[in-house]
Amino acid sequence: MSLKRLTKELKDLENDPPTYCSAGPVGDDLYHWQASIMGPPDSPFAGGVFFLSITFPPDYPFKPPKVTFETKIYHPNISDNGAICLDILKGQWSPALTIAKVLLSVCSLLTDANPDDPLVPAIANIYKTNREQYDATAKEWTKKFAV
Amino acid sequence: MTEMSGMKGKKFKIQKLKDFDTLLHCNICKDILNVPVLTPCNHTYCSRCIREYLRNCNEKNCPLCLNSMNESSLRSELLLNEICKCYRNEINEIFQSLTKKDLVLETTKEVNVIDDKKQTTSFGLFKPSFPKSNTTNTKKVKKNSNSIIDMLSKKKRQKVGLNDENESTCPICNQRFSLKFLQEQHIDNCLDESKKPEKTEIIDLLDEQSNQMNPKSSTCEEEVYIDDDSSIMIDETKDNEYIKSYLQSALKSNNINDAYIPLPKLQLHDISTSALKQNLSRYNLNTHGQKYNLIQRWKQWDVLYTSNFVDNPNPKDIKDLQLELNRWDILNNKPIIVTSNSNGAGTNDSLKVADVYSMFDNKRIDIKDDKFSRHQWEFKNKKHYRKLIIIAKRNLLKQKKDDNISV
Repeated sequence: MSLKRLTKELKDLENDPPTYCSAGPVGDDLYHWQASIMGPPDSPFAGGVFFLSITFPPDYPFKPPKVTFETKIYHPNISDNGAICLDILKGQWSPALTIAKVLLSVCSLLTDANPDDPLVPAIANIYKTNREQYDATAKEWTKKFAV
Repeated sequence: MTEMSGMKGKKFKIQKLKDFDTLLHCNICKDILNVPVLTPCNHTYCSRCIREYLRNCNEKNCPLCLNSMNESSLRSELLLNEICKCYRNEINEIFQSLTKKDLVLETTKEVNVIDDKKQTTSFGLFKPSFPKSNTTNTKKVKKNSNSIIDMLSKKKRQKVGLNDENESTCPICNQRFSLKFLQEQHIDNCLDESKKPEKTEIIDLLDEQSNQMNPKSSTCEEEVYIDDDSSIMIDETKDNEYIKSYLQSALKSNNINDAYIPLPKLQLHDISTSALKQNLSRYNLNTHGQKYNLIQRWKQWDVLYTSNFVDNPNPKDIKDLQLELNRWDILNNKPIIVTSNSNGAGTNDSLKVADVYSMFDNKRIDIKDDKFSRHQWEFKNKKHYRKLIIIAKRNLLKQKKDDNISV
């Protein structure tokens, strides 16, 4: 089932690509994809292109895919090694979700961080207390790593 | 899981049609619903998808609304089952006829225009030598017609004697023919050969015409008047199988539970390998592979079995199910093939997915090794390659078919 579903998702992505995102398999392995997200214009990440790696478990879609950032990013919910703290990638996963929807959620996570459930408490703290400094650092990192 | 539909990747000109298509898809496998079942929260999934999901996940939630639910509360949807079956099977025809209609709309006007007495008389005596007819009629018909088929259909119409009761319009190509010809030949031709070039149609018409010239075939006058609107008749004959199937399954559904013998419930976390094998062989299933694979196989068999005999109004034969399980084994239980080759049959504890995968990785390193011989490898795995090649070829054919039909 997982293979069939993945080919279907790939076709849907080709026919109807989501805005700001793209995704596709790395080589012949359908269980390992690479995706790119453009920094949303209304966020400090605007102008940057962020690469993600996606690994699908053999029992996908019953289990969530593993999504990690390959590009360094300054964000309270994304750790230094690229791990993303997103509910739908853990407990809230549902087989009705697709990789396109996951990427869109990651996009909206970039615009609206969730500092109450942080992966990097230091960044979350700055996000809450000094938003301007957060925006400035995020922009700087975007320029440095994602352009 | 389900047969590949002809719809995947289609681009729709009509937005509403896309909605219709999406509505008939399962939200788990994203394919056209196969034996749909209704959850207590009124969401519909393929029977197998939702059962497999509920068994594999700790939290038993509806994938769409996350409301908690039980497997026992699923109810099969008989009507939707027939609708999806019909949609899946007839989809190519539906789209062919849709595109055909667009093409033919222009010609319908032309066919109905001519009502010249001169022509009727001349056609009455006319023998099928077409170039002549073309030249004689072009002046009169120039404005209206441009193809030989139009001419022929006009002739046909007038030949039968302007008796409207004996004629009807073909719902597919919109040309007028005698009822008999329409029912017995033309509709089938239209449906079957809508892809063939026009020439064949002309030949058919020619044959028909010469038949009608023959005095023996004067039966068309004795033809009983059935219905002016022939399209209704066609719909009935075409859809009858689904309607019948629906009515029958509704009748049968009362007795389904009587015939169904549930699988024995196994305590999969502390069952012995031999007991597992015993249970598997009781249903003539493959008992090869490690314990982990046996457990996966049993789980899948349970899903297939329950889904088929509880939810499917027209349950498949158990042999088909076994075949399906074998196919699933080849595609999804793959790591065993490699591990069982290298390590032999499993002995004690059940393997985790990660373990199986690490073994798979070890095998990959072997491939990269200098000692690795491709021929040996091919020979060793001949069986599996053959199956894979068959599957790949089949998929290629399907893809070609799909690419041909786009609306």
